Amino acid sequence: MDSNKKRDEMRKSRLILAPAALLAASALVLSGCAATEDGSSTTDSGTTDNSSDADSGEEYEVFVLLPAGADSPYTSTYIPAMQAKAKELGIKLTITNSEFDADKQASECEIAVAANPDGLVFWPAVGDTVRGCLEAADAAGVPVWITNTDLNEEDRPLSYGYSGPDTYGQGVASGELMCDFAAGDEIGIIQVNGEPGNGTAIDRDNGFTDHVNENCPNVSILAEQPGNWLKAPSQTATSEMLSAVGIENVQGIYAADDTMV
Amino acid sequence: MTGTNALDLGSSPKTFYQRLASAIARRTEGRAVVLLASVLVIAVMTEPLVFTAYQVTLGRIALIGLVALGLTAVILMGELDLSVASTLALSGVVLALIPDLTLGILAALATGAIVGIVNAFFVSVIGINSFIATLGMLFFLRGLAFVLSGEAPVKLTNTDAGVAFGQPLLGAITPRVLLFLLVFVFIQIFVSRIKAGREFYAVGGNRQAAKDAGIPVKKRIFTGFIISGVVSSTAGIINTLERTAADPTAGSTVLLASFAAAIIGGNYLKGGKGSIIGTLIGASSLGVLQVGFTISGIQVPVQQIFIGLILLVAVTTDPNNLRAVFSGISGRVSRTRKRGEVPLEQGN
Repeated sequence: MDSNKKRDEMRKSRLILAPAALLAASALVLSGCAATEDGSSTTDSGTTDNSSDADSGEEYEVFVLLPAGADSPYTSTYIPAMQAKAKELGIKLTITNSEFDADKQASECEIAVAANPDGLVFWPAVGDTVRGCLEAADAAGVPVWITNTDLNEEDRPLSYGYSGPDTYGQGVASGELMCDFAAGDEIGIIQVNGEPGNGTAIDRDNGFTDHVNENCPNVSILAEQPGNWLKAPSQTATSEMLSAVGIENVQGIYAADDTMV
Repeated sequence: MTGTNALDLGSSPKTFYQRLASAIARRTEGRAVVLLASVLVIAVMTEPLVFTAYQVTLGRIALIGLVALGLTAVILMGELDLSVASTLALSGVVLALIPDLTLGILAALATGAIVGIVNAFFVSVIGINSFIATLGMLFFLRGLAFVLSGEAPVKLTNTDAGVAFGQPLLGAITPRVLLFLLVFVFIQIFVSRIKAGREFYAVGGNRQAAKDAGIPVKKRIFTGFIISGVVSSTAGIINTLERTAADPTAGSTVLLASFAAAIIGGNYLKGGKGSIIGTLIGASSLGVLQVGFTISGIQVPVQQIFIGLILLVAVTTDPNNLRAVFSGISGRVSRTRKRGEVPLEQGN
């Protein structure tokens, strides 16, 4: 228990919550007039929480367990930034891609722990399924940093730190934008979500709908469909929803990620 | 050509070496053995961790191979089951939704059996092509898994039991590896020693002849699909217990990996030829390869290039395909020669 408490105290969070970058990266609120708040960058810098020991010339080995790779626009932005920083710090990265398959990621975690690296950077494919991986790493004395999608509350003591966005907060922030856009008028919107079952998708959806339901009941979510974080399925889902509810009834569209629009 | 081969089979080899050569010639696992040997040699030289962490490699082989074993039972009869990954996901969700673990496991296994029965009904009773029937089930079951789970992972009620399940029983033998080996032994004995299982080859080789010989083809198809469904749901149960939650998106990489393991193992997709041992070797090759790739940090697109090439080589080096290719080439060459000779003769 004491060690858990200690780890909990040690756990460091870096929430990338600068409103402009957050809003641009997490959700794009489209409306008839395509209103945008600012021209901020959409890059989400996934950074590991490193000490400065790398200056000593010693090379560190870190496994990075990602749910996607070059096949996703989001991670293909994420990976080069991580690689550049790792090179600067003298860290050798071994990056895996589980293709959003939690079981494949668990197997990759076993391989990573068996390789006994200096650390693991872990972006859970499915947040609820990572307990076994965290316990194996903990037993082997391999510190785990979580990135982009945070763990459930009960699993957090098994990780060293978190870098990435507050995904629920991203949804709330998008909800705030939508409420501002509605300005008290009765409007109908449609919603394009991320991949069903994915932690980030669930959090953003919950954040957005919770905020809208509580703060601007004048905004009615007429339909919602998954866009799987990809442009083509999102466009298909959007056109189908527009046909289903009638384009004349839709004054706004909420998409959970800018790569989908 | 086929007639000649059939006649050749009648002549029984006399010496030990002739019998051995004949036995080897009948096997379909040759290419898989060569691939596994090559992969093992390369792994020894480049990534010894594949062997030192053998428990991890065994786990990966079991992850890829379990569903492939059940799938092979269907492939031997010349049918396909595209619904295996969706069955895996749905069974996991059914397990997690039921608070009592034993009841949940039984319900998940029953789910797999029911899926197998429905698949077989469409294929053997209604007469729908198995590709289309199981493609429909692939979407239906995946959708059902999402609806039942509320489009989110479902935590097990008893997560401690799940964590305990993932621990090794003896050395590197985890419950996943043990179940994988048991399923392998069961299906291997079934298709090689039990009459009903051996008839899978007859059903796949020539269905009409099997019917004429009095083999209950429909029953065999039902049996094959039920095996595939139950094995897929077993994989779903193992995954859900080890992860302590059911994920409705589970198994997204399982379908293609299972087919790859079966094909690399020498199983003929049109049925009648292949073996469970071949699938085991195919899954082992893929498992070792994937662990090696992961340790080396080789990215998925490059891995896909390698696996695609291996699949192409595995299919094109099938002795029947090679014979067809060589006879086609020699036929074309002789026709070309003849065409070249005719004008010369006419000119003379």
